[in-house]
Amino acid sequence: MKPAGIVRDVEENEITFVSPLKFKTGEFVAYLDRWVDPERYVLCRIIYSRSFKTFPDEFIEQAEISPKELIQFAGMDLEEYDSYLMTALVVGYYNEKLGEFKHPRAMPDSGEAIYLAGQEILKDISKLPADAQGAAILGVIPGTDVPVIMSVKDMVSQHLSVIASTGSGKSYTVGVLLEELMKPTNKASALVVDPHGEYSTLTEIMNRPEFREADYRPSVKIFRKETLKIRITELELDDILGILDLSDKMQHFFVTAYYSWKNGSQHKKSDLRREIEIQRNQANESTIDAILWRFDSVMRRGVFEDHLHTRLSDLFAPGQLTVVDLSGIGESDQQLIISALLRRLFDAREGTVNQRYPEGEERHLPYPAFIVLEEAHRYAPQNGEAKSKKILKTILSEGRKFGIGVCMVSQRPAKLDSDSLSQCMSQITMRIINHADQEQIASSIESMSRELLNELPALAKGEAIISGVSINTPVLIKIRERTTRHGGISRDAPEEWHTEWKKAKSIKAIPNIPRREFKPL
Amino acid sequence: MKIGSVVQVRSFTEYVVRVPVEADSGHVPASSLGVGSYVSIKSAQCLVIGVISNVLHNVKEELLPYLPGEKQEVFTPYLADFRSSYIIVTGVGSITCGRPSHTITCTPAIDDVAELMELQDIREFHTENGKPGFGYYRRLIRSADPAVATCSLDKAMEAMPECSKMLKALKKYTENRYEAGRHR
Repeated sequence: MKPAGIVRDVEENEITFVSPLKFKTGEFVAYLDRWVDPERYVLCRIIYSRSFKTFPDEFIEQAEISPKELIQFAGMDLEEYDSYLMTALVVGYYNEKLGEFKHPRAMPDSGEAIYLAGQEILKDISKLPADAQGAAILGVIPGTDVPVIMSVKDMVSQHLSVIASTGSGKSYTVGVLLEELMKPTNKASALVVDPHGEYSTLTEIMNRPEFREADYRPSVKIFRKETLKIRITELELDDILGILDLSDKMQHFFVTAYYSWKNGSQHKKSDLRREIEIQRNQANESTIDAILWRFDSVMRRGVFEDHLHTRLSDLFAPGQLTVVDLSGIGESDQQLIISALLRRLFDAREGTVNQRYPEGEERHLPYPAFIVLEEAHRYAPQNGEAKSKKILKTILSEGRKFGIGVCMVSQRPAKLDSDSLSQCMSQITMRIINHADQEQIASSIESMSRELLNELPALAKGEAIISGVSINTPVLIKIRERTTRHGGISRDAPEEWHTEWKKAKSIKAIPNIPRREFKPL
Repeated sequence: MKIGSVVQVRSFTEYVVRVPVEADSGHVPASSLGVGSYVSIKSAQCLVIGVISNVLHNVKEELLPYLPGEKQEVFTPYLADFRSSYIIVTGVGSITCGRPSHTITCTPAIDDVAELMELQDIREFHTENGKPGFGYYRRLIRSADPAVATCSLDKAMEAMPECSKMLKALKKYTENRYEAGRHR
């Protein structure tokens, strides 16, 4: 490797070097660890770069004069101004036995050479080779063709967060991740909760050759409110109370009715309604009517059924991506649906792992599952309660044992429960400008150093920082192109207005009727 | 416009030119030679270009009564020349076969004739391959007083008005450096 710069000085964990090359923040360089193993390269990540020598003030005072031209005009050495002073953070050398980067403890001396980190060194950033089982290639290190590969095993067992402000490519990135999960190297059982109906384009996976191998062909199922069914008995008292929005007095009668129904032998919706009705007397007639009115209006929505429900085996299967399209469903009902779904999944996996649910039993689910929660702050808000928050927190803390992985996707991490966020041990973090969101990330994500945090507002669309347990060291990545179409594109409002205006005008246009001649009577 | 002839070459970049003071000598009067003026000296190999960096008026006959007779010959070699003035020229470049260069490739010889450069000649010296340049700037501020550089920048500005913005920036830079140097 050719030297790309020379070390000027060293401070704590940082080295400062001079180079004629302009490195970008997040790029990697290396130096030889001559104190311990002269053959070994120590990886460093660029955190700051600036001009080595600045132009004289008089040369930059007038905007119409180029300081470089002025330097050349005066016969001065322009090369002096073409060098850069770079600060890089020492990442360490890759220890194959430990499978991680170790700090060398001996820093380089002034005058030592700095090399551009090549593929041989950069490949150690990823835990797995690209073609390995459990590899998810999300993109490349910018300016190189070195792929960044996340470990699906670590991602599923220790959860993942995808945090990005709106318009920075969040759902596109999730799409890439889901594509990777459905590739023959993973054959995942994944489900994505899609509140905006933007993941239905992933059905293209089924017809693309790159997702097939031998007899493997992934399937993509889409469940919408018409096809997604929840059995009434799967709801807990709090769930129903949450959607009915009852006053204290109403709650009193409803709770009584609920327990009578729960402990009874009949468990249909009509049975619960009857239990409410039974409590009617002259004093509470209007209250009972109000409860029944609310109960009927909720049950009419068609999601809650007496017997029918969507089986877990329909939702989860290896090589199957399930898109739960919740568009058109109110936020409260979305929480309820997800809450019921997560509870069933956790129960099934816990029962299967602990051998309570044998093969043949409906709740038997003998493989891990990965759930992607778009707009995760709706299901686990930082402030206030959500019906799904409790079970989600249980899964995030205990899911590892039972093979339930959660991917929390949010554009407002400040609104996302910090405990839940801190349980996600791998992170894909994209552009975040809001200070409160940055602070939430800083306080919830251990691997997010202040240097990485400072980079977040400057990330371009489609760039992300990947950190955590599914990668060996935090890395800036350019997300790869999606194989399938992206369903979450921003709408071109002026274009649509123009089209609609033209359409409306052509409809309203009055045909050219020839003028009639009126003859005087 | 002749100004005189070289009487001493002190170094590769510093030459002493004797400037006659007689009005009828056919030379530019010494009184009109300003610091920073561009001078060309025709030598055998090339045309040496320099700027006037200093002036010397040494009236040695005033000292004669204080010297013994045998020493007068030794210490006053220009005795017969007491009415002349001397200018110091700092070499900044050369022109060989019509091609200007901002490096000194040759030095003048004794008695080579020095001439004051016309604006057009100054302009040509500062134009190489159609591109204006002041490539000797650093050498000039190192070898001469910064005030000399600012004066020569003014002269260059007269010859190349289209480069005045760049030359003004250089002048300001020179003045500020000079100021900073004085305060140090």
